Amino acid sequence: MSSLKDLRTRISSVTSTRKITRAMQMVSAAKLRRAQSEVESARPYADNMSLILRRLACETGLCGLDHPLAGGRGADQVHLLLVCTSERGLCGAFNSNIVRLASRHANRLLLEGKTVKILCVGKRGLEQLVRLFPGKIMDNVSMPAVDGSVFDFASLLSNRLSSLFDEGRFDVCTLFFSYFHSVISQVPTARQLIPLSLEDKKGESFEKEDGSTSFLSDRGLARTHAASIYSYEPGESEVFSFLLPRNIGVQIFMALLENAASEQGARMTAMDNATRNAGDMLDKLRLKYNRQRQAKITTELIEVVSGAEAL
Amino acid sequence: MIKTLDFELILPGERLFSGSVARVIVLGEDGEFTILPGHSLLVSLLRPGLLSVEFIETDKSEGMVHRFFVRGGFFEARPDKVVILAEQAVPLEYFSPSLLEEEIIRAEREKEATADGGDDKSLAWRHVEDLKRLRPLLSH
Repeated sequence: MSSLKDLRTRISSVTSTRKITRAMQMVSAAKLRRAQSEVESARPYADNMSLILRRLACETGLCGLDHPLAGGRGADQVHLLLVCTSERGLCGAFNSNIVRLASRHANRLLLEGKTVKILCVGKRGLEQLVRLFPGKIMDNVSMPAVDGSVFDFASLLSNRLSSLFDEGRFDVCTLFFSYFHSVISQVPTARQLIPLSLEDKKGESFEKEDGSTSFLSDRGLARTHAASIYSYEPGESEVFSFLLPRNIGVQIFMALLENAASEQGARMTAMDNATRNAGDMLDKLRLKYNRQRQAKITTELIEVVSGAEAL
Repeated sequence: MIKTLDFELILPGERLFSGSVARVIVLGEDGEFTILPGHSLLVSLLRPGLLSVEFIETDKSEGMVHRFFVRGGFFEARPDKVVILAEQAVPLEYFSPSLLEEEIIRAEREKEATADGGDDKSLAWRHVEDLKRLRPLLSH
């Protein structure tokens, strides 16, 4: 049984932990709001990009297009997994969920006899992936500390992917991130980047509902203009060799933003739970403390009374 | 006959402009395009330069013109809609000579970074020239 002093120390330590978790929750709430608005403001660009690509795909049949980034090289032996995680912990199961999805994917590929390489963004995922897949980690990149440069960071990453692809270091690239559904629900998502997968483009995997309806209306539109095929300036291949790498950059950019919002959401929920747990624990400790204090007083009283009686 | 165009100018981080306009004049990779309602389907890359957006003339107001500096990206034209996805765009009112110099330095750096002798090099070189040509426009 712990002494009164021990209990007092524990109570004060739990109180200060609760203060910290509550502060972290409030900080995440503020950051979440900003991250959410960043996601919202980046959506028009990404949506329009994929809409235009989708329309062009409808008209020309992108798979028939002679561009390796769109149609692949016909091989799928070497898979590169681009796993985006966070730089900081204390955000619940956020990182573990992404890593779990990625490792399930990797294990399936390994069973099929494929080669798996992992490029990890963020050090929290790296710690887990190194343990799970030693020797498979190609490299890891840290997110920039400055928030404003996410787009540049994403374009850098996509340039690196393109050059790795050109060198023939991998055949298929899949991106793993956490889709920000709401504050309490973040969905770990996998999306194939190279070769461009039209299944994903149709938005059936997870995309929000209005995305898929707009796709239908676009299809209708494409049909009405079926006779008039797009013209390209300067030329079809130039436009696609500009658009496709750009599209990868934008996809990564969106994934990073979604991830940032998800991370804050997950942290907010985790810290809310932690604060509540600390509160429960404090209630219990206080009850115990008061009981012991009362018991001590009672014992002392009994000692006094029995001492007086003995006289 | 469609009389107006829906026009959107979108950057990675924000939607800079959205509304219906009478016509859009934009610098494509192969020269200047004037896009009127009913334009055929077109996808083109952008050259760094000026973008003009002309509003519809009404009885009360003359057709206003909005100008932007636009860099890096592409646009899609459809009969009823034009969408420009650019890397950087600034309304001309806010585009100062010093900003232009920054853009020129940036383009020079890109030119240095691209490999010699390829199409990319001549493209990067042309982008620098395009930007330098804007200097006299801004000086007054």
